[in-house]
Formats: sequence, C-alpha cells, structure tokens
Amino acid sequence: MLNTKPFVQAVGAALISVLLASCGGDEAKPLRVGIVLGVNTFKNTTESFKQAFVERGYIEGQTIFFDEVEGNANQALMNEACQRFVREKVDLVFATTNGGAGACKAALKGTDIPMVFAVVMAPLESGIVDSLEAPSGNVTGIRNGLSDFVGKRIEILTHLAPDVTRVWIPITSSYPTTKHFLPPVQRAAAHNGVALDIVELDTPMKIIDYLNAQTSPSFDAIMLPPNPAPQASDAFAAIMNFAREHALPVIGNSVNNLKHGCLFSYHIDNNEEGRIAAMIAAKILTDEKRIPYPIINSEPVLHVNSQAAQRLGLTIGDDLRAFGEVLYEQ
Amino acid sequence: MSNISQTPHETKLPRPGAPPRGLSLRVLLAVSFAGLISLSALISGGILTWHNFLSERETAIHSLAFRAEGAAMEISNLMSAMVSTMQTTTHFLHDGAAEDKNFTHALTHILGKFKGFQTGSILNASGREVAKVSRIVTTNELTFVDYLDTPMWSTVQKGKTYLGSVSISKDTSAPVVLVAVPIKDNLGQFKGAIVGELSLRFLWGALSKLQLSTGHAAYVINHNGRVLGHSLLVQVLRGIQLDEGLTKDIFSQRSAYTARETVNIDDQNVLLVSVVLDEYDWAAIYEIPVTEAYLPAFRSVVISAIVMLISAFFAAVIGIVIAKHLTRPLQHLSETASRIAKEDFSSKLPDHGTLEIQSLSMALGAMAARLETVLSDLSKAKEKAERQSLQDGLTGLANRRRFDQYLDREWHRAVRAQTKLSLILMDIDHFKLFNDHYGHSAGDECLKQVSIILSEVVGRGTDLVARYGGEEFVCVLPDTDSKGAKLIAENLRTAVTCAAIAHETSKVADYVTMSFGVATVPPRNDTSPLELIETADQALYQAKADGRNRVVVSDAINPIGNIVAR
Repeated sequence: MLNTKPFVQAVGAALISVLLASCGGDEAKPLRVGIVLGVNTFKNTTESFKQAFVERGYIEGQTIFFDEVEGNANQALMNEACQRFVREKVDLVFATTNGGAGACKAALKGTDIPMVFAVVMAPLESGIVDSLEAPSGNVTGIRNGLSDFVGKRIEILTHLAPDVTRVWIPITSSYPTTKHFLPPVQRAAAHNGVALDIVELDTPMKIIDYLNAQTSPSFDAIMLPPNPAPQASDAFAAIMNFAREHALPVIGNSVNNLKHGCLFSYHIDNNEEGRIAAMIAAKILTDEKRIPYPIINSEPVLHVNSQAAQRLGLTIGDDLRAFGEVLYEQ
Repeated sequence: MSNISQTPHETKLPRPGAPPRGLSLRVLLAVSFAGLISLSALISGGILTWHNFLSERETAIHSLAFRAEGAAMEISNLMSAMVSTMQTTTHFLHDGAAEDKNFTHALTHILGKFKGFQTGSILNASGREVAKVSRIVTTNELTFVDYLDTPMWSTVQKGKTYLGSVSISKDTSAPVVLVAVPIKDNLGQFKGAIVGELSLRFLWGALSKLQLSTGHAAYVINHNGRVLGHSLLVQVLRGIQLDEGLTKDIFSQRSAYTARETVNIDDQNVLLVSVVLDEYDWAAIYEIPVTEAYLPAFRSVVISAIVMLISAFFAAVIGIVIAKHLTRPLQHLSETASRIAKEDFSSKLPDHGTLEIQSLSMALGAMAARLETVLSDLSKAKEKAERQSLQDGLTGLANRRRFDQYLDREWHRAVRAQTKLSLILMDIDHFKLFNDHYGHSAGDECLKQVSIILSEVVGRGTDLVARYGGEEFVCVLPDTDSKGAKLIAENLRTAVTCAAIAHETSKVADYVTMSFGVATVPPRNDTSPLELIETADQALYQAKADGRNRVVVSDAINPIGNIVAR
C-alpha cells in the first residue's frame, strides 16, 4: 500500500520553506550615528546632514538613530561625547569644526568606526587626516576652504564699497581658525589698499566694552571673524547696533548674519556641506571595503543684503548680481 | 503419425503464500502520473520563467537607458547653455571696447551664471591671459599663463569650441575641465578666446539633481574613460578612470544606448547603460547593482518557481489520487481472489472502476461461482466416499475399518481417562446352514435384520456396532464395565431370539440365534486393543463351545484358554 501522507507532508514543508525563504524580508539592523556639533553656528549643517539621510529613505527612530551632542566649543564635553560614541559602538560619527573632529579623531583611534567631518579647516595640517587624496583610518570629510576664499571678502567689500579704507576685525588669536583666517585676509587687504584694524577681543564682553568706548570709530567697515566671541548673541547685537549707528558695512560669516544687517557674506553653504557629508556617510555605511575617500573642498557662495546696501547708499553691480545671490530686495 | 511426444501443458504459478515481487501498479501509476504531470509543469513553467526573466531584464535595461538618457540630456543642456553663454559673451567683447573693466565684467558674468567655473580667463590672439576672474582666489593671487602651445589653443584657433580633459587648476589646485570658446571680430578674424576652468563638482551638481536611489550612480566620462562628473561627489575626486576596453566599447556604439554587466570601481557587479554625447565626445552612464537591476526578474523567477513547485505538488497529488482510484478495484479484486482461494465465497466483487476492471470482476465472479459449485460437489462426493469407506455395504453398519479406527480411538481415550472399555464379539449360530438352506439372498436379508436389531438395542451414541466379517458382528462399549457389557450382550441375544427369524436347519433352535463373547478391560499403555479383541474372541469361542445362543464374559485379559466364564 502506498502511503502518501509523508510525501505530501515533505513536499508541503519544502514549499512552505521556499515560500518563507522567498518572501522573507531583508530587515537590516538600524544604524546609529553619533553627531558632534562643534559650535551652534553649524547647527544647520547637522540638520541638513540628518535631513539628507531621511531623503535617502532612512527613517529616523526606526532605521537610523542620531545621537547629537552640542559641543559649544567645549573641548572636554566633545571629548567625553566621542568616547561615549566609541563605548556605545555607533556605526559612524559625524563631527563638525576642528574641535569636534579632533575630539572624535582621538577617541576613534584604534577602532573601526568611520568618521565624516565637515566645516574643518586645514584637516591635513591639523592632523585630522594623513592625506587629502586618500586619508586612512576610516576618516574623511569636507575641508572648509575658508583660507582659500576668505581674501575674496575684502575684494568683494572694495567692489561693493570702494570708499572703505580701514576694516575692524575683533579677533581671538587662540581660537584654531584664526590662523587660517587672518593671513589671506591680510594679503587681500594689502592688495586692495585696505588697512586692517585687528584687535584682540576674545570674549563677548570685551567686544561690547571696546565698542562702547568707540565714540568716533577710526575704521569704516567691520569684518566678523570665524571666532565664537563676536558670534555670541550679545556681542553680535552690539556689533550690529554699532554698525547701524555709524553706517558701517559689516562682512558676515554666514547667510544668517545677513538678516541682522550684514552687507554680504562670502561663505560656505553649511546646508550643502551637511548634505554632502551625509552622501559620503551613506556611501561609507554601505561600503564593506572601507576604501579611503578623498577630502572634498567646500566651495563658497556669495549672498548680498540688498537692504543693507541701500541703507549704506551702495550699488550692487550686475557682475556681483550674477556672481552671487542678492537677498531682501524690495 | 507423428512420433513427437508432447509435454504436458504447464502453468507456472507463484508459490502459495509467498509475497508478490516486482513493482506495485499503484506506485508505478502514481510515479508515472505525478512524474509526467510534474515534468510537464516544470518544463512549461521553466520556459515561461525564462521568458519572464528575459522580459524583465529587458524592461530593467530600458528603464536604465531612460535614466542614462536623462543624465545625458541634463549634461548636454548644461554644457550647451554654458558654451552658448560663452559664445554670446565673445560677441559682446569684440563689439565693445576691449578694456580690462569689460573683460572682468564679462568673466564675472560667466562665473555668476555658471557656478561650476572656478576661473574665467580671456586670452588675446597670442594665447596670453589678459584678464582673469576666480571664484575663490583673489585677483592678486591669480596666475596668468600662456596657452600658445597647447591643444586647446590649436583648437580655438580653428574656430572650434574646446573641451579638455581633466587637469589641475593652477590657481585653485582643484581638478577641472578646460572649456574654451574662440573670440572673433565682425570679419570673422580670430582675436583670442574665453577660457573657463569647469569644476568637476559642477557636473556633480547637475547629476545629483537626478534624485538617484541608494546604490545607483550616474556619471559622465570623457573619451579616455576619466570620470568627469559623478552623482557621488567623492567618486569624482577619486579620479576614477574606467577600464580602457570598456571605454572603447562604450564609445564604439554611438548610435544608441548600450547595456552591459560589469564590475565598477567599488568591485560591485553592476548593470551599466551608456549614452554617448557626440557633441562633446563624452558619455553619460547610469549604473545600478545587478542584484537590484534584476530584482523584478529574480522575483518573477522565484514566483514562477513557487507556482511551478505548487503545480508539480498538486499534479503529484492528483496523480496519486488517480492511481489510487485506478488500482483500488484491482486491490479489491486481489483481496477477493485471495479469499476465494481460501474458499470464502462471501466477499462481494467490485462493481465499479474502469470497464476492464468491471469485466475482470465479472469474469472472476463467474469463476468463483463455478468454483463454489465444483467445490460443493466435490465435498459431497468426498463425504459420500468417506462415508462409504467406513460402512458395510450390505448391512449399513460400520465396517471393519471403521471398527478398527473407533476401537483404537476409544482405547486411547480410556487409557487417558482410566475408564473401562468393553467389547462384544457376536456370531450368528450355524449361519452356513442358513445360507445353504435358504440361499445367499435370504442369508443377506438375515444379516440385514440382525444388523437392524443390534443397532436398535445398542442405543448409546458412544457405542458402536460393526460388521466384523461374514456373520460376525462386534460392539464397542466405551466406559462400560463387564456387568454392563454382559447386560447389553444379553439384551442383544434376547432381541435376536425374539425376532424369531426362521432357521429350520439350526441345531440350536428353529430360529436364528447368536453367540456372544464379552471382554472388558481397563486399557493400559502396555496393552493393545488387539488383546481385547482376542479375549472377546476367546469368550465367543467359549460361548459356541458351550452350545451357542449364550453370552460368555471374560473379565480381564488373561492368557489364551483361561477364560473365566459366567
């Protein structure tokens, strides 16, 4: 007698196995990305970094988790955050500014956790990478080319306000970016016949006090350096009030500065830096070979404040209009 | 006459009780049906699956080609607009006064309109840069170079637009592509050129607008295979150079898109579709991982395979069911035939199944019916023969053979039960004289009458009356002592006497009389029934010797001649 039951069961089981195998989902482990925001000025960089992941199909809280720490230029805080990322074995670290990237570079040493950085000046010279073309140690990112283009700010200022002869720059010499910022500005000023009034003012209070003491300023323009002190809200407000009071053009550091009255800003697009960083990070996370990725240079964009120009009696030429973007036009 | 001797016709039959050997018809049918239907499902499904796979693959390639053409169009439009703007600017330059201010204004205009330009230069008729604007570097830091002996210069001198390979900008150190447009005056005389250093990042900006999915890549290569623009910016900066053979292959087919599977720079197997931009001698390429490209095809194959397997499974089940349906009546027939072989004719033969099976069933039924009749007749004949073999033909009493069997059986029973066994041996007195006087027919009739009397008198079912031979009769009385046996013998003698069968020539009386020898023994293993017969015979002899028509009893087996008469 032929017993068909075992045959039917076996074939049924095989079919179910095939069905399960073919219908099985490819559930991937959610990714954990640690983010170190060096200073809050670059908050839009980390936001666009996260947004770019969402645009690539990741779901925050489900397929990807972001653990963002606001460093506020506090090196100890950033060091501790990076060490925690290592302990918690995140899949990738995204760091902004030299302070954030430096802290992560030190913490990630000896691990295979990749790091992507943005808004970092002279990454080779500051030891964050060992090569710009093929950096080792799972580290790559976007180089802030401020030193390449910051001289252009003086050139554009003289183009927009040809009568400017002396520019005041409140500086914090000890701040890491200052050494990348100051030399090209000095060169451009010399070439364009502009004198610089560089004053060491490393706290917001010092800046406020200095301006309060200036009843009749000796300078006819202000340049905001990439230092925390003049970006602090009270110091920044004091600078802008002073500039408005004395009808002085102010060169900003970011497009955000323009809405507070800066004449123009020739800066890197922080949003785009974040998007590019996310693109590299996504590539690294899916790249099992962990090949070295070259460091990308950031490219500057020009934004001109039409209202500020009008208030100062300046004309924005067609060439500059073509070169950059004019904002707040009425 | 033929002398060929014919061997008897032999039918080879399997040994009764031996298990049948060979393949089961059910298995054979099941395997055949299931196998054939499954094979059919697999072959047809396989063909369809392959067809679907090719169709899905073709669809994937078409889809990729569409995207590659989109990328090509994006790049082409961008480059056209860029070159067109540069050409328009040249008109402005030769129309207006060639002053530094105008030069700078024109270059700033170009750099403003196309963010991809790192620098813009104006070359005079000698190939010397006379004006330059950089997006990044300040004017005082710019280098002014001589392009006189470069391929670019020889191209623009011929009035053609130049599109260079990847080089490193002397001013920004960034990888750039040189684009140059000749400047001519109103008479068409060559006056110089506008040169732009196009950042590779610029093409990335255009390609990144394509909204690529993860794992997809769109890029542009020049005729050397150098990647000029890539949807992933880092890939541009890595200075990727496509394999020479692949590059040649891509540029050899300019008429339409081409598709091929290859391994990309990241060692991934990709499906790559390329479209050549003839105007610039570039090619736009769109690639996606092979696994993703063929995912719909693979899904189709998996679904088809599952459907095939399910079809094959159900085909197998149906095959088995059909085989069962076909073979069940045969199995029934086989079982019924087995029961018939055991002379069990009660089973009902199947009246369903195929015509052949029904016909076989009917034939088997007819054969069974005939067999039942034959067996019944045979049984009756056998019973009759058996009965006849144990019965005396004349008197109807048990014959000598039956007597021997019965005595032997009762002897052993008595040995086991330790009971007594008696035997009466009797003889018609002067029967020879009866025959002589009345004839043998009358003699036979006399024997019949005596037999009837003996049978009637010996009433117990366990007692046996038999004709011992001639006019001698014998009666076996199990579990009967000598007293009982003597009583029965006396009853017999009286009954025969009372029957008063005429016997005029008898020397004892005018009627038939009989003499009786009775022997009774408790049987033992060391004795035999023969001794009981001999003892009874001696008693009979004694009865005859004593004058006949009497009963002589011997109580025990004693040596011959030592009869204790009563």
